Amino acid sequence: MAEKKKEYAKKDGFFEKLPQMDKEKATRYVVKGLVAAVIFATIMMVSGAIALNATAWSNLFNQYNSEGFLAGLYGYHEYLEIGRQITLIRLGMQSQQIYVVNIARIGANIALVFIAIGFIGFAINEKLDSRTRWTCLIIAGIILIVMLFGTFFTQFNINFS
Amino acid sequence: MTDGLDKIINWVDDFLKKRLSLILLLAGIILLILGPILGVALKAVPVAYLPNQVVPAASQGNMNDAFRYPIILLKDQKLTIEFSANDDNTDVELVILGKGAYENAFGGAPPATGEYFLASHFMDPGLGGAREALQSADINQDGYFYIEFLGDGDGGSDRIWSVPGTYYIVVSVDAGGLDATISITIKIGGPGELLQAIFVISGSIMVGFFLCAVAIYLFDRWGR
Repeated sequence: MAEKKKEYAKKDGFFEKLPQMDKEKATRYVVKGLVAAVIFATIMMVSGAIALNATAWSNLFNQYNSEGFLAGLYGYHEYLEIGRQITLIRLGMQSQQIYVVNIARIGANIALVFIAIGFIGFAINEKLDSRTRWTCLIIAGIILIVMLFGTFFTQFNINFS
Repeated sequence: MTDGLDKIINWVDDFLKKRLSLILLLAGIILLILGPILGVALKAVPVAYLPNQVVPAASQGNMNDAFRYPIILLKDQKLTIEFSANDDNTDVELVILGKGAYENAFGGAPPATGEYFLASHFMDPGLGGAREALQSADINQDGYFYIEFLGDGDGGSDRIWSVPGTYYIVVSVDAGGLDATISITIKIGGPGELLQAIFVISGSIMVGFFLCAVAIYLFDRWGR
């Protein structure tokens, strides 16, 4: 039993590796995290924009539908069917936000963890000057606080406009 | 975990280098473009375009003389009929009969009313007069009807609904008039919607797969 514990201790775990994180590895974490965060944030923004503009979209297509009927392109029954389809798509556009944003939020949180680890990596790098290390530690702390508050409190938001 | 991720990244790297990835993207885009086009083109398939059909006078007294066209409707399949006549002082009547009513009337006079269909008047669709559920389309002298038929309907609410079965389009002319010349176009619901859904979903999956591969590639490249 004791030998096994020693074996586990010998293996370099994730947290054991952290103090040895060099500048390049930390940069890699930050950049990977940033790329992933940008991708997931874009997905969230696009999803939100689709949901926000769903009504404008449906107004436009309802007008197209009326014009199509007036032009005699199709009959009244088809006009009603197209109208129902437009309503269905509008509701889909509005409700997709629930799934897409929540899934993307998981990805964005993982990306933030990557960024925070990268900054922690800078902070514990003894080759850097102390002011940079302190700044990196504060940035990592802010990222983690924002992430934790965002995860546990639904009413917590930071908006940039 | 890292090995698994590396395997995926390597696979994506190889996949994007192959011509297959571009073919997949192009095929996806083509399917996305073709889907709506096929959907519109095959939504209603023309089954008959019969201009200048002469219907003898007094065919309202005898089904044998009337214009008759059989059609089979499946569930939710729609029949679209464009019916017009331009004859001086002649009453022309179109009815759609179920198989039972048709066989019952055969040999005698066609019934004055059949199953309900929806006739459209191309005015503001918000107005009540834009549609009318009828049991017969009557043209006196000049007229045009755009008819949608699903099997049955209701005159009070101007609605139609699907009743699959065999139906007969019967056009007859009043005994007091002359022979009538009618034009009739019949279209039946085709596989347009189904094909559109299949093409658009397949195209979206292909393009989405390619974009995911590109995202993984960029994630790996920029993070190195």
